[in-house]
Amino acid sequence: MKKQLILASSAVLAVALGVGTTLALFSDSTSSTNNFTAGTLCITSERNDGDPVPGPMFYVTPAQGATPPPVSVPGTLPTGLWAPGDEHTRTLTVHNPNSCSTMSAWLTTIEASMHPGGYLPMANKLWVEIWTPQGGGPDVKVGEGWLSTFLAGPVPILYPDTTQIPLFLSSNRHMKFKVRFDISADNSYQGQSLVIDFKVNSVQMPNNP
Amino acid sequence: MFGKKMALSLLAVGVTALIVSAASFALFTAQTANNDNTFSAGTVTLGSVAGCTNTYNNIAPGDNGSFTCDVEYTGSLSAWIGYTAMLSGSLATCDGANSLQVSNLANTKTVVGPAATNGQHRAVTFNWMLPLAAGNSCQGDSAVVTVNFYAVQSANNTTGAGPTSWN
Repeated sequence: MKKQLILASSAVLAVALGVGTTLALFSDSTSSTNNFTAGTLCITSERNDGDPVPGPMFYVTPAQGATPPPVSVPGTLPTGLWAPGDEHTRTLTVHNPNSCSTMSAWLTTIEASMHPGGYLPMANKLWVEIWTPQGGGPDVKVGEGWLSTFLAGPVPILYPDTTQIPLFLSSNRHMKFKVRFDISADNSYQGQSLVIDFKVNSVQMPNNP
Repeated sequence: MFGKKMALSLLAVGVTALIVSAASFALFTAQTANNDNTFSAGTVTLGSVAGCTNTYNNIAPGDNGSFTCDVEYTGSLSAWIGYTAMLSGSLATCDGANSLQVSNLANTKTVVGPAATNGQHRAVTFNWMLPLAAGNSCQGDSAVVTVNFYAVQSANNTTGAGPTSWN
């Protein structure tokens, strides 16, 4: 009986000591903050060919191609009025500036929109081709179609070998817009006009082969 | 039991595929624009023709004269100006070579001068003559010279001296 009492007391003591030991362990803790910030993709563009910027690539008169007020420097490369068969090429330089972008991009599509009041049928007689250099080589055609197609939605642009067109971070790319007024345009197009906004679309290059 | 597991696995794969698919549409994109590009077609138009409505009555053998048709070009595009001039009526055939003679007749479109720009004029002068040898078969006969002018763009349509096409 006495033996049992001693054993029970020892057990209680042992438990008590054990609990006390647990509470007395050295401990410490620290924390760190993990910040996740999404990158940004932005592209900008400006006409080239020596024209003052900003301004449209295609314009009929120097005044139409002038830079916005208050400076208003006249455009230097007016197309003049278009005759059937006329063709003009203008360059749009597209930038991927690190001032607002953090990643390289693929140039994917080009689309257009028309200002109100334009003569829509004329878009069926204006053939648009997009050219850009490939791998430091000469310009190659990367997209084409009637202007009406560009108005209907984004037109894909790809190199002739169907690979994508890169626009690396902090770089720029010359995109040549070649527009031809089809020779089949009849007298119904005389004196008609339309005003177009061209838009170049891009998508991130990282994780997007 | 195995079938239920398989079904669950396939469902899981399907859900995963949907998630991956949804993620592929969430790529960052950007757009840039070049605005206010103007495309305006020019015009090819002719103004009124002057000096080309004339009446000559009581012509006698040996009479002659001339008239000049002058047209103004009013289009905004450079253009070739052409004309046709056709003689008709019995006075033109009443006595063979001794019938009414008119110069510069043209059955097909004939270019007049260099390509014209807005405000410029092109003119054609027609000389006419009823030969002194015209016989009585011409008495009381008449004839008409019909002149038409045409214009066609010269841009992308030139041989250097005229248009490649009038259409």
